[in-house]
Amino acid sequence: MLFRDGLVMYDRETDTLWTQVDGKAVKGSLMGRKLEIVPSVHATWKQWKQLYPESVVLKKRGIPRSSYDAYNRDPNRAGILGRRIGDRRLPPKERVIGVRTEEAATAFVEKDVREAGLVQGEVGSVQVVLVAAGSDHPIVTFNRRVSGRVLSFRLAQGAPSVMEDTETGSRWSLADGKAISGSLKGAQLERAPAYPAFWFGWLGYFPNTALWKR
Amino acid sequence: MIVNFISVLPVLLTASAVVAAADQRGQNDNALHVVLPRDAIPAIFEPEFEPASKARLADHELVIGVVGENGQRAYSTWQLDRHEIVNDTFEGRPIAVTW
Repeated sequence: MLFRDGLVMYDRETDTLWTQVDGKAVKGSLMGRKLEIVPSVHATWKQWKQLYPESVVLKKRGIPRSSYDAYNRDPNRAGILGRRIGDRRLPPKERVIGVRTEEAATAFVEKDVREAGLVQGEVGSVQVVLVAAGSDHPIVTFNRRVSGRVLSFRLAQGAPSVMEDTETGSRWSLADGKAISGSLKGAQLERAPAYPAFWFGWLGYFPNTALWKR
Repeated sequence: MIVNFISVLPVLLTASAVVAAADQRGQNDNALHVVLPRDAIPAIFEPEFEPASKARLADHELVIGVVGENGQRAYSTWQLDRHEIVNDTFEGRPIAVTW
C-alpha cells in the first residue's frame, strides 16, 4: 500500500496502518500516534565497513543488485502513482538528505553537501551539521547542541573521519559523534534524524519543507 | 506494544514492477493506494546477522546502519528491496528498519 508514493505498513497487533516516511498512524485504533525515528547512517558498503569494521550485517544471499536499479536511474519516473509534482525547485528525482524534527523538515541536496564537505544548517529551530568527509565517507548528520551550547564545526585537517569545533578546538569522531580530544573530550553529539530521499517523495510528505542547496 | 516501535529510515522508492493505476493524480493526493496484496512483500521477523568481515556485499551497495553504544548493525537496501521491513531489537530497543 502506498501513500504519496511512500510505503504504508501495518502492525500485526492492532492492524493500524502507518506511513513509513513520517512514521504516522493514519488509519486504525492507534491513529494519530507517531513512531519515534531512530537516527541511522546511510552509506555504501565500502564506506560502512571502513567506518565500522567490527559491525554485523543482516545475512544476505544471492541478491546481485537492487530491484529498483532501473527505476533509480530513470529521471522521468517519479513514483508509480503518477502524481503531478508542481514544484520546480529541483528535478523530482534529485537526491536529498531529509532531516526532520517534530515541527520542521529541511531537505539538503545530497550532491551539494558532498561538494561542500561540511554544511551547518537549520531544521526549524534545531541547528545541525551534515558532514561528508570525502567520497570514502557517508554523509552523517548531528545536532550541534551539546550540553546546552551550540558549537560550530569544520573538517579537521589530516584526519579523515574527524571534525573539530571552532569554539574549543576539540576533535569529534564522525563514526560515533564522540569528542576524542580537547577540552570537550568524552562529550557526545546526538545524531539528527536524517535519511536520503528523492525530492518528489520528500516533498509529498513534507510540502512545507525548507530546502538547502548551493 | 506497537507504539514502542521505532523506525529507522529509508529512501522513497516505489516498486517499478507493480505499476498500477497511472492516471494523473494531484500532488496532494490523500488516498491510500493498494498496489499489492498484504504480505506480498514479506517482512523479516527473525533477522540473522554475520560479521562485516564475512559478509559479501558489493562495494557500492547501499546499507542502512544503526550505531549503538556497544556495536553497529547494517542492513543491505538490496535485500530490503525484497522485504521492505526488518523487525529487530537493537541494544534493547524494538526497531523496525524500513525501506
